[in-house]
Amino acid sequence: MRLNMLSPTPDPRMPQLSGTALKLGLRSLSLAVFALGWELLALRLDSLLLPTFTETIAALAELIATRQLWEALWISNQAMVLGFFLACFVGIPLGLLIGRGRAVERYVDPYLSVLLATPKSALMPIVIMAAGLGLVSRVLVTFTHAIVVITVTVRAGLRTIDPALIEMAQSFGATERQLWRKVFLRGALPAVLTGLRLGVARAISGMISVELLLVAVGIGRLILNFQGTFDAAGLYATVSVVVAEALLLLQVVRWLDRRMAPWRFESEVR
Amino acid sequence: MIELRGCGKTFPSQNGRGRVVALKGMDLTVRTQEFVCVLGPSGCGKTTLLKTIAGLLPLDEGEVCIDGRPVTGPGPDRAMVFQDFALLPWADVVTNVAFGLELRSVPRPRREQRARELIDAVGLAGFELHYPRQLSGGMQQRVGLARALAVDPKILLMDEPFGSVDAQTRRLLQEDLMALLERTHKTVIFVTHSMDEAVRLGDRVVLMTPRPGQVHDMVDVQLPRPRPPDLDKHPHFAELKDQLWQQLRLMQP
Repeated sequence: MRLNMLSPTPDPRMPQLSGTALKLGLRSLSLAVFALGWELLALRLDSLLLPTFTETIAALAELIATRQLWEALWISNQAMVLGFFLACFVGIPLGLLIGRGRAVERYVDPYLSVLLATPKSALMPIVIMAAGLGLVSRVLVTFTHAIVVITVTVRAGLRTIDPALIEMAQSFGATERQLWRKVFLRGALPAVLTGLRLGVARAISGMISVELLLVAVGIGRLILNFQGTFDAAGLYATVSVVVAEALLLLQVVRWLDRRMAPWRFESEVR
Repeated sequence: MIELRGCGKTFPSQNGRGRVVALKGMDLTVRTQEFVCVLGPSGCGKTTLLKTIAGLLPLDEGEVCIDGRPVTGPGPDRAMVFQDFALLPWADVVTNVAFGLELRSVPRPRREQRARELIDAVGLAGFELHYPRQLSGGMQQRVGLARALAVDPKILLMDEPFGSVDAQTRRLLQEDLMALLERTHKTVIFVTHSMDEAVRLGDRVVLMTPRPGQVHDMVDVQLPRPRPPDLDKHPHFAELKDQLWQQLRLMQP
């Protein structure tokens, strides 16, 4: 009985409202509550450092109209995209390799743990000293941010493949190559996609931190400029652009996930 | 004909110190088209036995010969049905059933046609495009059985195939397996820990003892084939089950 009460029962007052419409409605409602709360808080505090919601939206509209923003996005994303793809090209094969080979893992694992434990920002000065203030060092920073999580996730994904599947394939005479193509790579695909999703988020954070802390270009420079001139609304608007980009990229990876691994999303029909 | 001569296999034990003798001095001959059930308590080396015949595990001692030729690895004359089905979660039923053929590089149209025939034969018509997750345990094992039969092996190796489904489903699967074998004539080695199942299905029951795994007894099942629907009322059926039970109970530690 208690289970019944917890399960969503259709409200008799709005019977024609579908599930997705309801979800959308609830989302817009929570957004409206958030915006209103922000607006009221900012009005009440009346501080130079906290813009109101409407001021931020106005600044955002203004910002989108400028060349400045798009140039900054272009510069920042060059480093992000290059660093991220480099991390994929190295991280995915590395994850697969150490997921299968115990010997390889023994040698690579300590370095991976070090990278995993070290705050990436601590590595940034080293990278800058080695590679200078150009694009290369920004690419390297995003790379170090993204690679560990990609490698570790892919390795974990390979480990979750049921050993019985390997045995099954071997019993039907699978060669090592077939085993890789038809079992390991296929089985690790969801983990690879999860790795990409986590990696994108790390790459963006790497891109922003290097620009804020060491090489003032792109979005980071924009943020620092707004901060320096106490343009709180502009600052908030820029940050919201970064958030929007991150959400958009995550959505793209999620879409890829659904297309490439549909078996994980099929409903359970018995 | 399958011949096992003096087969021995030892594994390092879980804690790494000792060794577990899974098989020792195991001799067994299985005639062509015979249905042999291997019965015994858990850990008596039943699965090890099956895997060595499948060519998945190399032996430490002795040899397995099939029609006179020693087994060195998996081969097209054998196919295995697994306890936990071992279906590819990312592939639909057709692709799963065709998997053995895919590994043997049979072109797609041909292997999918063959898969559809087998899906029909095991009673899964209409579920071709379902994923394993969407099927019940019994249906999943039908997929596993169809996959094994799709490669048209001479020998079926079944590792407690109906051990993880409920009792009614189990009876249905047993009946359907018997009906399928009436038509296709395979040599079957069927591992089980159910006395009922062993007597119901087998021409012969091999009773194994644990540590070290070896043959304890062999019992010929002299019941009519095809097995009648009222097998449970057959006096010999109960008698055989009792005979196996008397021996098994003495093995319990």
